[in-house]
Amino acid sequence: MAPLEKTDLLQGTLDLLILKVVALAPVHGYGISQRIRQISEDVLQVQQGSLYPALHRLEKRGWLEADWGESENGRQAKFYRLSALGKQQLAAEQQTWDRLSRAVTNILQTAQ
Amino acid sequence: MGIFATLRSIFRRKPADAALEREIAFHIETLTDVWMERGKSPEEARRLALLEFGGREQFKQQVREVHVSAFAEQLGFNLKAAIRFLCKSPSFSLVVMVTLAIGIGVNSAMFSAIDAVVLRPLPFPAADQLLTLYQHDSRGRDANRFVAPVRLEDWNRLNSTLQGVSGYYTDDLSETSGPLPERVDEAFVAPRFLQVMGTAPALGRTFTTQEEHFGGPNAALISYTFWQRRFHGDPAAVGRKLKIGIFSYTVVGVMPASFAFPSRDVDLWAPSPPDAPYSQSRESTWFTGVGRMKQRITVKQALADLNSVQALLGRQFPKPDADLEVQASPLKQVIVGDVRNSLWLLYGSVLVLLLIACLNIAALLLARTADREHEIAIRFSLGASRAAVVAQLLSEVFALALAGAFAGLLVAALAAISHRGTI
Repeated sequence: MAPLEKTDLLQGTLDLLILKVVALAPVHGYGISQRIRQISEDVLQVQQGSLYPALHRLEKRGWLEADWGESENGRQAKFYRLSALGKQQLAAEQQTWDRLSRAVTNILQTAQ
Repeated sequence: MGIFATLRSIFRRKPADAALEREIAFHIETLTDVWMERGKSPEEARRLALLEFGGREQFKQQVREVHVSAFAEQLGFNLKAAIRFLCKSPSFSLVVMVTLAIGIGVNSAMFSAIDAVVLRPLPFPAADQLLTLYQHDSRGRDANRFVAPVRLEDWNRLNSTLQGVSGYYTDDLSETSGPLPERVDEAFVAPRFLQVMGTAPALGRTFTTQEEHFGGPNAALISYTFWQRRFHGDPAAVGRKLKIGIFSYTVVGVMPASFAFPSRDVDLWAPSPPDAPYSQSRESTWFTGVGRMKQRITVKQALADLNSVQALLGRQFPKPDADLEVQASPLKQVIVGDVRNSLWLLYGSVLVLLLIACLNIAALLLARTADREHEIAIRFSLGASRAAVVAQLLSEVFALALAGAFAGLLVAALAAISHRGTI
């Protein structure tokens, strides 16, 4: 499938995706972009230009915590993990997303 | 050197930046690995990785902007750039600064004059209670507005709206107790003068009741400047004798330096007893009256009250008093008088001057910025955000304005000093 344009990502969706990916296991910035790409089957490609500012923003808000550790290829990398606050935020955002997507789906189906 | 070290530490990037650098480096190295696994040479892999990653500086800046501290750094950077910009074209900067300095300086100097003269109360306690009192011939036969001593005493005794009424007149005399005669300005004051003015001597005491009566001892209060000039600030001046005209006075006290009433030139104050034989005629007038209103009394009420007192006196002493009325105006208004309007007029004109200066500077800056279109276009294409370009232009102007304002304050201070010197 062709990747979506950056503008096609809903405002705030990137934060949700990052929180979700990080919730699975502590991961570094490169890993996050790879995983979003893999799981979405190449539909979603996160630009580094949006990824790192978002990561730092989430860290600043206290939803993510970060530590330096050794990566799979033996290099020093900054690993992000979800904080307790981040877990709550993820749950809340996921719920909002579910409601939104259900609502959009409902409307589209009715229109048919 | 110390100050430069301090400045450098402010402008130096924070350690957080190094961490960001490492984080990005890791990302790019991993991308390089991936390209190498796909069979590219290390150089080619690195090139592709950098290409894939995109504009590094640009998004490092975006990450920095996430942190509030980026703001201060940005400010420091902009100020540095602004100072460089100012030094690059010194004549332009100088013209703008001097224009601003003159505009601001003249305005502040003018405003401090207005503040001192018009806005600030007179240097007496509750100065808004003070009135100047004159008598006025309602038939216009006598233009003399001074008040007879006995009438002043009547006003003081019979009114119900004032705390006290007093008066003064001044005379130039010679003081001859020193080795050389000296010209002095003497203020002769009616009883209660210092009580009405609400001011006590800085040294010594005020006049006693005896001294305010005819035949009592001759006493004088001297001004602070006279005390310094004649006695070199010696506290033993209290009790010394002065010979003024044909009379000898004992100095009973020194007035505070701030007390300059009725004028700054007055060297000494002495009582003028209202019960003296030469003061008894209701037609010999020489006092300028001063009165202090009771609390919560308006000028109108005080004036009405004094005029009813005067009407009473008119029935009692028809000959001189029947045609007289009282004139009362706030002391401040009398002292400031016409200067008030001309001061505001002057202030208006220097304000227009400042506006013209601002317009000039705006035009200069506009012309300059038009020259820099090229530079700004380059900054945009290098990825500067609109806000960053605006911030830099503003910080240049800010640095100019700051320097100009500082110079303006210097001008104002100098103007204020020379202005004070002339009074």
